Parts: sequence; structure tokens; C-alpha cells
Amino acid sequence: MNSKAMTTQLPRSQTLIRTSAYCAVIVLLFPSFATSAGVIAAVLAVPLGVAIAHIGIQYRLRTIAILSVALLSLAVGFAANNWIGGSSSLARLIGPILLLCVTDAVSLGLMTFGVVLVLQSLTLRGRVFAILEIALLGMIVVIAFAGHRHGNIGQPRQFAEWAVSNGLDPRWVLRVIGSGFSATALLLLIRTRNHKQAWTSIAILVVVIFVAFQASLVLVPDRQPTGGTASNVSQSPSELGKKGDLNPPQSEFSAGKTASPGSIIDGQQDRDEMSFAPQEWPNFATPMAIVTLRDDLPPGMRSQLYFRQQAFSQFNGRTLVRSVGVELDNDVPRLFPVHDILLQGSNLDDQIQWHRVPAMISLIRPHVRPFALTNPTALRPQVNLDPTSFERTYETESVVIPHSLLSHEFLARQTGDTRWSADQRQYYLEGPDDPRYRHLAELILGEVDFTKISEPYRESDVVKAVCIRRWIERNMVYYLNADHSRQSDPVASFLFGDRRGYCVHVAYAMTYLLRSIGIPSRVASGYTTDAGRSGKGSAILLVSTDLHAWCEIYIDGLGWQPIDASLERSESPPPPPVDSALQQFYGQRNRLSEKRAQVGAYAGTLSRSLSAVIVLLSISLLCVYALKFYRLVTPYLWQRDHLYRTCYRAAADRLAEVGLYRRSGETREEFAERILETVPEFYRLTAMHVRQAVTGENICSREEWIMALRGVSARIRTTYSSSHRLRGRLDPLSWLKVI
Amino acid sequence: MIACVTPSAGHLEHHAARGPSLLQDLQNHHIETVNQSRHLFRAMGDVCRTAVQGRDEVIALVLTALFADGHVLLEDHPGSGKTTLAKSLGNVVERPADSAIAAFRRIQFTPDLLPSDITGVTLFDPQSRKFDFRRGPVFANIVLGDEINRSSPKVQSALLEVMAEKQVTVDNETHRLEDLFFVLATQNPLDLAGTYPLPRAQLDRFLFKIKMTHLTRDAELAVLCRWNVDRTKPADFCVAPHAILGARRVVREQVQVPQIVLECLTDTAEALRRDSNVRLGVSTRALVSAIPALQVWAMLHGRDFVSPRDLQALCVPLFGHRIEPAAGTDADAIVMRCTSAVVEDVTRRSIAG
Repeated sequence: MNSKAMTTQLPRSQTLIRTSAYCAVIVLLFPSFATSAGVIAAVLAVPLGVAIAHIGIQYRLRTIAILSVALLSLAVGFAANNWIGGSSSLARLIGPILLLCVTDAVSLGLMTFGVVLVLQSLTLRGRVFAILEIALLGMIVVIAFAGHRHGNIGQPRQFAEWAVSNGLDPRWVLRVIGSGFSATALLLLIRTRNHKQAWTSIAILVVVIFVAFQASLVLVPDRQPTGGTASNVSQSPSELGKKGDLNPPQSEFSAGKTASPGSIIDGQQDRDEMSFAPQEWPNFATPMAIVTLRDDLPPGMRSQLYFRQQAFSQFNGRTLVRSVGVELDNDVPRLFPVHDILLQGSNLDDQIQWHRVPAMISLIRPHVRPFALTNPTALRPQVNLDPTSFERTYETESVVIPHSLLSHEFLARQTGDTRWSADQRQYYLEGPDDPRYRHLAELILGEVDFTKISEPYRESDVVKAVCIRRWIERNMVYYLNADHSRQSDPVASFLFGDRRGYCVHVAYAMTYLLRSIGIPSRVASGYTTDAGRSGKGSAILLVSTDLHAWCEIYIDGLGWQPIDASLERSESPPPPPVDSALQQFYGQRNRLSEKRAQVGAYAGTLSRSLSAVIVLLSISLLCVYALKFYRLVTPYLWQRDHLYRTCYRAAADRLAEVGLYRRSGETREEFAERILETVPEFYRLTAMHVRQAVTGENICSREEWIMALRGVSARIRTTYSSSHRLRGRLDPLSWLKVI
Repeated sequence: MIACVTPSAGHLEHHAARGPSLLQDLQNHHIETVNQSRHLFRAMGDVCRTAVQGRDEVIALVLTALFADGHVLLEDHPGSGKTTLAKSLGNVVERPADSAIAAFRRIQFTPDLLPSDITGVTLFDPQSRKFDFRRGPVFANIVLGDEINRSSPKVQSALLEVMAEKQVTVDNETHRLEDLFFVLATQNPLDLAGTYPLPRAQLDRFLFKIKMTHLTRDAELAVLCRWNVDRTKPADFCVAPHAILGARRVVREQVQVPQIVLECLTDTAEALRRDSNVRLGVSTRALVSAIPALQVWAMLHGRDFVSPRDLQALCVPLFGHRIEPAAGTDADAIVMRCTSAVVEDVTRRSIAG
């Protein structure tokens, strides 16, 4: 009877917190399958259930009576779903929507009431059943948030959707919910006076969360990345393309401007050499990748962006092929990153204000090699959070120089790297053994009036390269159908033949011309696009018609820089424009993906900061233990004059470990008198301590102090069980009660 | 208040087992040591305890005031044993039968009481044809001023002057009282109609103001069980006034008051003056008069030095009536809080080093 009276005396705040916890859990769990009427009914049923449970305890109703009421309401609630929901006459009477609401409200309300009543009654009867309560609540919370694993921002849906529709960051909503739950748990724990109980509760909470998490792995299947096949990927954009307004080819076509053949797309990516076969524009620009620039481009870079994928620099006697040397063309990433990769191919001048452009690249179509904005310095793997849309995602970091080719930064520099060996330099100068290249190059340069160029730049290789580019732009004709592939030297056939070709021809021709006059150069391939493509957003959609080949020269300190000729005349139709509907579609996809990427980064930061917190906590725990240990041994270390306080402190610490400590406002003597019967030795020690602490005169010898301390320790040993003492010894904060 | 004086109960009980020889020693010899004065204290406490049941804390405080040469204001409901307590205290003091000064006198303060009713009056003696001073009731060792707030301020101040100066001046003639002069005034906390509440300045003259509460059930039962016992019979233990005076001297001289306790006192006073709920803090006189009380309390607990704990035990009766709390606040709670904070601070400092 007494114990029952005790159990009813739960603090009112505890009941309030419990009730709110129930309500919070219902709000968390129910909206995914219930109507708002059902949720409201369930929330209202919580305080009712708690109140009835309390009343039941107050009037000493038998547990079995309360339980049967609860079971009855559970059964009725369960059955009501069929009775009311299945009745067609009611549906006719009040309409199907109202019927659904009523059914939900009645059944969920009754069932919630039943569950709450059972849990509360049992908890009020016996502390053990509180575990059941914690377990159920914890389980629901974990299951509700299980979808949020791996930083999946779209889960749990009811929060994410609500937050997004209200213009909030879903992460913050989740953070607020998380802190709310932690605060509630902490409040409940803090309110329990008994420390042992609090520790038990924490242990139970941890176990419950662990078990529930494991269970949720089974109950809520994880969405495995499916690695979306090309067919189903290409389906959605093509469908979208049909829906959207397919713009007809527009006439405002500037000839060679970034015009590039579409058939470099398939299969050719991984060839060692470029094809010179005739090309045709596809009907439809296939989306290849989406690039999200994480930073604004410098103003000088607002024109053309080059995403380099491959470089062809090795002359094999017939044409330029991909280099096989390990040391060569190291600025071109060869493999997709599985860990952070730092690219050190170019020796970049530290004196220049490089503009760092981090970017996230999501591949829509499969690619054999990664590409990155020129010039990349690092590649990082990134979790592909939208496997149905993207093949692969990775992060790049590039450095760009915010100056044009004809600025001082370029013109004042030498081509080639001063650190290159003679062999290496020669490697980038090798070309076909055809004197016509050199002859043509000298002819071109001979026509140039160098006296118009200001004095310091007259001998600049960059000027020469620009002159050659200009000549090509004027004298070549863009023709996608050009067929020089059957010639032994397709480039010569192009350059010295009909002068009609596309980007590959142009790039090779330019490279050979530059190499013939001693400017290190190579052919690069990849994507190029106008910087304005992204519009207002930061995402750039790369399509198959963006594939391109261009010439690059090596400038000391600046690395490989594109020097791309845009032919003035064209005999080919312009490439099909990028479908605006498609761009919009991928823009949206990309935003989501970007958000997820941010969440991924956030999760990384979180795990890092979590480990930092754990390390910090362990260090502080160690410090606390060290301090505790130090206080226990100080009596044996200190001089006699300090024994009065060190001995007393050590004894008080030991008493605090077993749960005897001075309450606030209680004097030392009162404390000693209070525990006089349990630890009589402490009374004497206190008297000795107070005498010296107050009067300052030490009348006891060292032995007496130590004896008094040992007396207390011995008494504690004989009075308290070893497990009790061990528990106290392990409590890192016991000494705080003494201070 | 009960909480802070609880330990004394155990010490008073302690004494019951002592043999009569020690008591004889106390009666006959001068008090020379702290131990002896403690035994005297406890012996007197025992006598009072047998007369008044369940008032151990009050008895301890009253005796402390007696030993500290202070006066006590008891605030209690009627019929709670104030007079019995005072009487039993008076009984302990032994005087020669022909003495001009009585051991115990009781003055019932009424609205029509005059100062001369207390101090005494000069009368013309027709036989000797002289004006003779007839001593009033204050000429006693122990004076019970019952319901002191019922009388006019004039009478109150007459008594207070006697309390402060230990002398009576009537018709320009000063009459000294004995050194052992102890006033136990009472006032009724309720029933305030037609009373003259003592101003703070006058309350300051009392060393302690003791608020008595109702007896516990067990104590009340013990009182009822002894209803038949004759309480008028003389005590079997008496002390001469000089013994008490000797004890006072011993305590004053031999119980040391460490610097730390003096600091505690000033810190407490400072805290009380600074407290936002206190309109008038304690006076320096209050602090000075507190020291003997603390010494007695230390002596009672078997120490020859005052500890901050004594201050915490006595702070409420010492300072509770000396501060003017803001409306709606409890003076005793404020005093307890301020003192506890100071003592706790000192304790922590001395443990942490």
C-alpha cells in the first residue's frame, strides 16, 4: 500500500513531459498513413489515456481492470476501421472523405488511448515497465527517422516536404526535432534524483536505440544504388524532349564556334587516337553530364569553358595519340576518384592570383574517364545520391586565371616548362616529318607585321600561336562531313588540301603548326560550353554536341592552356540547340542532387565533428579521472600543513563515492554528525580538520592524519559492498559533490 | 530555527548520566576551565529540561544568552511554557535568603504600567524621615518581562535602559544592578490589537529573538504524562551567581575566536546589507554582541574555538530580528540564506585549499 502511494507521487512535470513525448511520437509516426483527423484524435487521446491511468492508480483500481478497459478500446478501435469504414450507408450519408476522417479518428483515437493507458498504468505500477515505454517510444522515433540514413534529405517525407514547401532547410527541421528529443530525454534523466536510476535509464536508452536501429535496417529497406542503365536514363529526357518545345535549328549560327561532332560520343572516349571520319549532327543533343560550379567564375572567364577529358600528345609517326608515359600529361586525370586525388601535372606559378573553382560533376551518361574544368588540381569522390538520374558523381577543383590569352600574364611568359628535360620538351614538339608544316607556319608568321606589336611581346610564343590561330580561323572552313580519314596524314589532307574539316582537324593542324615552330602543344578533347549556358543558376548541362577537341599550348607557370580556333566560315548546319525543357529537368534534378551533396558533405562534417566531440569527451573524462585520482592520493604527497584539507578531502571523496556527501548549506560538522552512526571515524577527522581549518593551528602529526583517513577508508570497506564501492569509484563526477 | 540548534539536544541528554559529585564541584568551586563551564551549562540545562518538556533548543539558546551576557526575546503563543522556563531558570540560581536582590522576578507588562513600576520608586519613610529607594522588580538576577509589547514605549524603554546599562537611575540617584542580570522578555506574535510593537532599534538590544513553535506530538505527550508532577518543588541543583559569572569569564577568555570567524561575521553582515530584500541590515553592535554567543555555543559543543558552523547555528536568533526585510519576505529565511552562503564559501575554500 505504501509503495503504491509512492508510485502515484510522480512529479507533475514528469507526467507532462511523458505526455508531450507521446504526442511528439504520434505526430512523427502517424501522418505518413493517417489523415489529419486521425492524427488529431490520436494526439487528443494521449492526455486522456494518461489521465485515466492516473485516476486508476489514485482510486486503486486493479491493474487487470485498467488493462481490460485498454484492451477493449484497442479491440473496438481495430474493429471500428472495418465497421465504419466498410459501411456503405454511412458513406452515402456523409460522403466518403468525411467517412475516412471519422474512421481514422475513431480507430486511431481508440487505439492510441488503449496503448497509452496500458503503458502508463504499467509504468505507474512498476518501474520496470518504464523500459517498455522507453523501448516503444524509442523504436518509433528510430523507425520514423530510419529513412534519413546516409543524409537522405528527402526522408522522413512529412518533414522534408513540409520544410521544402515552406522554404525551410529540411536539415534544420530535423535538427530542431533531434534537439527536442535529446532535451526531453535529458530533462527526464535530470529530473530523476537517483543517480543510479539515471545511469540505468541512459543505458536502456542507448540499448533501445541500437536495437531499434538494427531493426529498422530490416524493417525499412535501404534504397540501394541501382546504377541506372543507359536505357532507362535516356528514356526520361527523350520523353521530356517530346513534351517540351523542340526548338528547330536556328539560323543564328556563328560558324566554327564550338561546333563539334556528335559522334565522338559513343565508344570513342577511350580510344587512343581521334577519328577523322565524317560526322553528322545527331537529331537530339543527348545530355551527358551536369556540372555544378560551387563558386562564381572570375569575370575574365565569362566566355568559354573547357572541360578536358583526354590529351593527345604522343606522336607515333602517323598521328598524335594518348601518351603512355607515366610522367606525361599528368594534369589529365586518368581514373575516377575513389579517394582524394591531387593532380600535379603542371607546375603552376604561385605568384598568380589563381581563381579556385570547385565543382561537382554528375554524369548522366556513362563515361570512361573523368573530366574537369581546365586546369584541375584535385578530384574527390562523392556519393551518388540520385542513382536513378546519375551514373556517377565526383567533385573537382580547378584553378583558372582571370585573364585573356592576349594579356600580359600570358604574353610575358615562355612556352614550355623550364623544369622540363630536353627529352620532355622534344616530346611535345614532335610532329609529322613533313616540311610543309614548318613552311606554312613560317609563311603565316612572315605575313604578320610584328612591328605593330609592342616591343616586349614581339618574340612571344603566345603571339605566334595567336597569329597561327587567327590564320586558321580565317582560312579554314568548318565542314562536319569532311572525310580525310583515308589519307595517310588526314591533317595534311585537311590543311594543305581542301581546308574543310571540323574541330579534330583544326586542333591537329594547329598543334602540328605550333610544334613545327617549337611551341610545345597538344590536342585535348572533352567538352566545351559557353559560360552563359548556366544562365542564372550555377549548374551547366553538358550535352553530346558539346564534345570538342582543341589545341593546347604549355605556358610556363600557367600549365596547359586551350588555344582554340573558331572557324569563321561553315558549310555545315549548326548543332541542335539544347532543349530548354531538358535543361530545366536536369536543372531541377541537379538542385536536388546538389542539396544532397551538401547533406553528404554535412554528414561528413557531422561525423568529423562527432568524432572530435568523442575525442574531446574522452580526454575530458580522462582529465576528470586523473583529478579524482589525484585528490585521493594527495594526502600521501603533501606536506603536513596541508594534511588537514587533503586528508579531509580524500575521506570526503571516498564517502561521496558510496553516496554520503555534504548537502548544500550543511556544515561539515552537521554532515559528520549525520553520518556518525555509519562512519563514526569521520567525525573525529572532521573535528581535526575544522580545528585546523578555522584556527590554523596544527596539533596532529602526519601519522595521526593518515590514521584518521585510513580509519574512514576501513570503515567504508567494511560497511559497503565491493560492488557498491566500485560503482562509486567508476563514477567520474563523485568528487564534485565534495569540491 | 529548529534545524540549526538540533545538535544541542543530544548534548543536553548526554549529561544525565553524570554523577552528583561533579555537580557538587560545580556548585562549590570557581569555574576555571571550558570543560567545567560546559558541565555547568549542561547541568542547568538538565534542570530546565525536567521543568519544560520538549523545548530543548529553546533552553539551549536561552542558556547561551545567559552565558553570553545577553537578553532574550521569546515570541510564542500563550501557554507554551515561557514562564515555566523562566521560573525554572530562576530556581537554579541560588541566593542567600536575606539577599536584597531576588533570583527571579516576573513583570507582567500591561498598558497602564509605569516605568517606576519596573525600576522602583523613592518613598518617604516617616520613621527615619528620609526618602528611601524601594527597589523595583528589575532588581533580580533573572527577570521575566511578560508580553513586553503590551506596555507603552515609555515603560519598554525604561526596561531597555536597564538591560543596556545594568543600572537604574531614579531621582538622580544611580543604583547598580548585579552583574548577573538576565531579561527574558516575551511577546505574543498574534493578538496585536492595542500593542506597542518594539522598534528595530530596541529589538537590537536583545541578543536573541527566539520564535517558538508548537511542540511535537511526542514532546506534548511527555508534557501530558507529567501533569501530575509537582513542578514547584525547589530544584535539586542550584548555582550561585558567581559560578555563572565565572563561566562567562572562562568562556570569554578561553574560547578563541579565529580570524576566519570574524571574517564570516562581517561577510554575513555585508551580504545582509547588500541583499535586495533587506531594507535595513544588521548593526555593528549586533556583530560585536554575537561574538560571546558564538563562544558559548562553541563551548557547548566541546570546542575551545569558534567555528563558522556556530554562526550558521545561531544566525537566525541572532540576526533575524535585527534586519528589516522587504514586504512579503521572511527575515529568517534571508538570514539563513546569506549566512549559509558565507559559511559554505568558507568551507569550500578550506577544503579546496
